[in-house]
Amino acid sequence: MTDQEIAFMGKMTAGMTHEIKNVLATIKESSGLMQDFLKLRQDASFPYGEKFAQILAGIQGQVARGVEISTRLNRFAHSMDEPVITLDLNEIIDQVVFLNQRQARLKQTELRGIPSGEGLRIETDPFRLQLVLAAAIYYLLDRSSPKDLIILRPRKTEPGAAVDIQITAAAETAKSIEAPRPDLPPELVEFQNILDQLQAQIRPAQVGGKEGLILVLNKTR
Amino acid sequence: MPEVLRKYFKKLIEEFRQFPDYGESPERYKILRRNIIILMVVITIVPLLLMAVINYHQYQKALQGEVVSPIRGLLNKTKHSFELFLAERLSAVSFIASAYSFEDLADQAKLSHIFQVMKDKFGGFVDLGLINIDGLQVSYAGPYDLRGKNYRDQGWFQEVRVKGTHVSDVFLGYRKFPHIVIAVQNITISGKSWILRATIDTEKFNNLIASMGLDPTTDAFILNREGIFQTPSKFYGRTLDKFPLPLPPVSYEPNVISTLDNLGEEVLLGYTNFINPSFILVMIKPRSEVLKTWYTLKSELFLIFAASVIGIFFVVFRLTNLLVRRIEESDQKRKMAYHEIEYTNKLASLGRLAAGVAHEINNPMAIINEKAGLMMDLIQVAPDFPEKEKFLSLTASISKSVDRVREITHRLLGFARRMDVNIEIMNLNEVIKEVLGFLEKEMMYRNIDLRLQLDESLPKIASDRGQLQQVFLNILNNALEAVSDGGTISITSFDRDMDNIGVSIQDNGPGMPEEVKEHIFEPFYTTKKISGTGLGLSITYGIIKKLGGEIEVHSTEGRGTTFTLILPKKAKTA
Amino acid sequence: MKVLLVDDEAEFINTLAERLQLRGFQVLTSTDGEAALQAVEEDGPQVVLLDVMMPGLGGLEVLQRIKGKHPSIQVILLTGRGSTREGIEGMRQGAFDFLMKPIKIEELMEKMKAAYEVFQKGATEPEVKPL
Repeated sequence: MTDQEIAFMGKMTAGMTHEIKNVLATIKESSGLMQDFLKLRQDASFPYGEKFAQILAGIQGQVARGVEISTRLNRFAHSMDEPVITLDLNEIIDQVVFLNQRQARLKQTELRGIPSGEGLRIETDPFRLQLVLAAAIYYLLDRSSPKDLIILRPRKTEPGAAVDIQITAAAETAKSIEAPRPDLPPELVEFQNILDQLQAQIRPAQVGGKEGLILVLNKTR
Repeated sequence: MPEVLRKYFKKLIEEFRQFPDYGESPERYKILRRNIIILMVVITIVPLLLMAVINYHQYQKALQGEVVSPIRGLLNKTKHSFELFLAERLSAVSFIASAYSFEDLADQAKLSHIFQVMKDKFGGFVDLGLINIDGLQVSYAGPYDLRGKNYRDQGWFQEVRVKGTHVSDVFLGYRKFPHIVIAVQNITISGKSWILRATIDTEKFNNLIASMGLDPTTDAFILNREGIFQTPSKFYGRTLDKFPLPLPPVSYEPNVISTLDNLGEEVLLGYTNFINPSFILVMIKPRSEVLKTWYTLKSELFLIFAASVIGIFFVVFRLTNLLVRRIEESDQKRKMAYHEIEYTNKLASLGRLAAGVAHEINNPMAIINEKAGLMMDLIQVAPDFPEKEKFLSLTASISKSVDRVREITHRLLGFARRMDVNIEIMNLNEVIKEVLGFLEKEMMYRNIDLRLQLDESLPKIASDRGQLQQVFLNILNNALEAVSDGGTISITSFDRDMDNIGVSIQDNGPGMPEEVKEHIFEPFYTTKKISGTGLGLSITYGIIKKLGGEIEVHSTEGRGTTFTLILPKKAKTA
Repeated sequence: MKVLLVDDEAEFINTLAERLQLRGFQVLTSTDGEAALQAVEEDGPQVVLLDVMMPGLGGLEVLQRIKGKHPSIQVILLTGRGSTREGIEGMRQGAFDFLMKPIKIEELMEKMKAAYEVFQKGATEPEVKPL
């Protein structure tokens, strides 16, 4: 995909998330109106008063859920606007984790970002970065078992930053990756182009006998 | 029992005829498969069975004939030999009886001489004697001392006096071994009568039987009218014993019957009655010998039949499976076409990411949808719900909103997928044919006249197969909606120039007016009142543009519409 | 008719269950594959509505297991926009039909009624079982 296409996609997606939010607002209004009605008739005998209140509350809950998702999607859409920006690696990882929650849930695996202590600002392509992070996540999901935990842990390096992506047990999130190998796994070869554009590499490694990948970013601010 | 069968059969035939109406159930394929298998098996096996049964009986008959004829032949031959033997001896004795006078024959020395000559020339004679009218043996030539013996009371003597000739059964006379006697009466012109009696060696009898050349398991012997053995039998008794089985009905032609012998064995009994003397020539052959060939044949027949049945079952099952699976597959392909499959097979791509999020949104939407539906149900059930109209319209609005969200996410997904362009080398004619495959059932059902003019030598192009399928599907669906039943749709593919190929899809529907044509590729533009989002052609336009091609539409009101696509041979995606 | 609804989204099937009960159906619900299989054994539903995209024991596997032990039980699959392929694969593995979310309740009822008829045929005429 070219930069223009990505930007175009971002614009379209942003537009659509706005639409979705609008629609959600409509739903919110309609249910809100019904809730008001019910409140007014609370004393008078209203069939299914309790029931409707319950249902409407449920709807509002789902609307809120929808709004949260659209907001996230909106953020993702905006990350496609520019091919190069300065961003906080922690935030981007947070976004990637959200976008892939469903995939992880289907594999009964938990996906979690471990924030680094300080802020980690780097200059990079947000969309392509999210794409390769997602690719790394899917690669590990294919090699995970139910109840596993996959963490994404960014850290500062010289000259840039790196993200450890590893399957791990909950207690060992602090353990770092050892002895990365230089070769890109065959499943990820199709991302070589994008990695080149990012000036990044992905190296497979192991932590405590489990699979892992290190994304090495060579540019930083 | 037949009632049940008939009902079952009727049901089968009905089900078979009704296949298209089985409904949407996947059971229908199992039912169809079962019915086809039953039908095919019945059609092939029933005639086979019939033939096998007929063959079985024919062979049985033929084989029996093959066994029976030789027995008959042998019996005949042997009977004639016997009869000839006896006739010869009889005529010899008759000749001597008439050629010599009583005095000559009464002369012991002369009689001895005649006897000697008979023995030499004829063979088989043991003795010769002259007996006068009173039964007294007057002269005798032979090994025994029988001169002076009187036979007046013997049965044969009396018979000879009456009949003139006599051939006896085998009997033990004064001598203690079996022999038979030929006696001839001679009456001279002067009225004097005497009897010339000769004894025949039963060895000759036995030799005749030996000369039949029987195999060791076959027995042959001669019985008299009372069933007494005249010659020794291998298995059933010695000479002068009684034959252990009942005598078969009299037959002067050789006859073969199947029966059980005294040991319970199944045997073939061939026999023929002699006219004179009243002997029966019997031949007994164990059936098992005879039937060895038959058993081999029978087992061969059965083997072939069994192998054929197995072969039939095998072929029928495989064929039917194949057939039904094809039908199933094409049905499913069609279903797929109407559900616009999304495939994101890249490890990570915009498409896959977008799909994940879209689903996240769809889940809460599905819940909201059900809750709104539940409210509507409750409102409609309650007899006196206040502000019924208001609430119903609010819930309806919620449902409609959910639909809108669904639509938006669908669009989003579509865009994302299109952004992931998967280029491969392909033959466009094949892509067109694939899409036609999805639609052929409907086209057949509606009798659409499909005219294909696909250039056989169309060069291959590099493009995105899935998206081109979408394009053709969209345009063809529109064409199908435009034409009436029996209408015409023509598809032409051609090599346009060095860089591009072209495809045109023409229908003879009502065509469209100028104003419609101008806006046809605009998003959300639709002339359909009820269905359709108006997105189809705008998406198509987008895809073609993205793949580096061109799309044009020409239309004449009352005549029809033609869409023309120009596609680059080399991937020209922006 | 006793029907079992299986989907990992609890609020969804609970609401749907209520709507079906209003329409006279006997409804059971499960939010995962294992619970669903247990419900099949213990409560004997005739029709099962099954979401294909579930964590853990996925829809297709649950389908296989149900059809393996109780071939007369009819299963209708619920698919989302991205899982139509699983829906069709499920048909091949013996599912009665599939529906896309969000569902129209009338369509669902039609399919359930048809599925129930097939179930009844399977249960009362064992001699005429398809090969």
